[in-house]
Amino acid sequence: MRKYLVMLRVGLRNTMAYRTAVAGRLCMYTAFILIFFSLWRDIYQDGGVEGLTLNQMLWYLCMTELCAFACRSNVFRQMNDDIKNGSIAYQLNRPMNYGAYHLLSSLGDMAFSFVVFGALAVVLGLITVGPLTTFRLESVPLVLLSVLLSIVINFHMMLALGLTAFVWEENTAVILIHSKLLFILGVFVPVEFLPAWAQTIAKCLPYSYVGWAPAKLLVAFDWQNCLNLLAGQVFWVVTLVLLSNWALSGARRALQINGG
Amino acid sequence: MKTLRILVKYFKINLSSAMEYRASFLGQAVGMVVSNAAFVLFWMIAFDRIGGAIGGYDFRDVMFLWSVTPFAYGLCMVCFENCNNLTRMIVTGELDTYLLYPGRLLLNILCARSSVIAWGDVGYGIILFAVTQNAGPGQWALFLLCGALGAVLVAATLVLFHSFSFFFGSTEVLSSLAVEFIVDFSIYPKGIYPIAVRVVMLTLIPATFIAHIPLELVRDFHPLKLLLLIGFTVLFTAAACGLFHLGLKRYESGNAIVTRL
Repeated sequence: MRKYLVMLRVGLRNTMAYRTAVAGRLCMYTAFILIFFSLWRDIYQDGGVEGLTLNQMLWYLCMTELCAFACRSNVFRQMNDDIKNGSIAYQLNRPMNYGAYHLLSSLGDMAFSFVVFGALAVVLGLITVGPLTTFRLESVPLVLLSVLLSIVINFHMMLALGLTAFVWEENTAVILIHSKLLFILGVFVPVEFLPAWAQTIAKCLPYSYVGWAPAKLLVAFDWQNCLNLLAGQVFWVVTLVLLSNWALSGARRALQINGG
Repeated sequence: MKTLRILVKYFKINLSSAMEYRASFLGQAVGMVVSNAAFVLFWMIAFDRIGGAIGGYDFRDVMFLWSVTPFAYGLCMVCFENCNNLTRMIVTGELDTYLLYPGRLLLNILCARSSVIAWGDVGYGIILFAVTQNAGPGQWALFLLCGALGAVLVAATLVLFHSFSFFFGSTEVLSSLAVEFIVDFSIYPKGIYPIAVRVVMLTLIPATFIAHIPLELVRDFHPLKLLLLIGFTVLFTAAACGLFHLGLKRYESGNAIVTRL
């Protein structure tokens, strides 16, 4: 276990060492929120949308952007590099689980991002629309749990997608499609905003449990909904952990290492 | 004319290099088209739910923004992808190789690399324009011309921001932000932004000239507006090139031995 904690610490230190990159990401996050705020403010000129007020919608966006983009891991690119430059051969030989190694080394970065971007999200929300009108203090621990589950879901989706580098020589398109699906299915708009047929599809896919679930809990908390959303997230965590481990062991068997 | 010949030569070489790996080329391009198409679905739903206009733009207007912007950005990355690497080349002294080349230095640098995946953006822009705009030959000509001018403007903006590296050290992050802002300001209706942002869109990040003026031209053509677009592109590009060459005087060789394959 100690070796994994070391990986976590190394990941955290790495992130803190590249302050300019963090500053750039913070600027990007601020720009996204302000652009979306401008867009939704214009849309809300004609009244409410799907039962959410502008105040709730802006806080919803702050939360979804935080979960889906600010706290996403770099595992896809790292795995791509490992597989394409051959260093996967060394990584797999190490006395640790390859997936757990990436998860722990990313967690340091993700924890740091969550704190820093979370603080920025609160500031941006307060500046643009004021305090969340539907905020409930008792929802905080459950929202935090939901954020944690959403980060794990997103991480394992990226891990599984990163393994496509074993099959295709160039897999950039895969991650592009993944990020757009995330965006459409819950990050930019609540799932309730989609037509009925698309809502059914969205709720059957893990994408909506990355942004929509924690943001929905934050802006429109109720106990029944909370249990359903958390149960959905737990289901997808278990499914994706099993799926990515199965895919990883398959990839390991198919791996051919030549030379020294 | 000589410049254009060099540009065409580079384009042919880069294209044939990409076509060496056909499956990968097609996979990436198609992936990009599918990924971009997800947004069409979003806007269809948004306009269906809200009705009317957003920021003074209707669905067709927004689709125009979403066709001309990827087309211009994609074309820029197909022809001048190396503009993304300028800061690294300046900071690490990798410009040495290009300084020895005959012909225009900046053109040689920018055209040296081409993005394969950007072909998806180019294709997507053309398909979306064809499907949503019901355009006649004149509008097609304007779309292609404005897209080409937009590609030059995207490249010029990147050159401008990367050239600051000659004076202030690495501006990698600033340049990445510039790309993000160009795209974001171009794909959403202009009317949603406050006045201060619209001023930025007319100057430092010329998104208005990349997407919004082309929209006005295609909807209601006016020769003066077209001249304004061409004039601004020429001036902005000249300013970016000027800053690059001014900065070049401060460039220090890396004395690095570089192998170019």
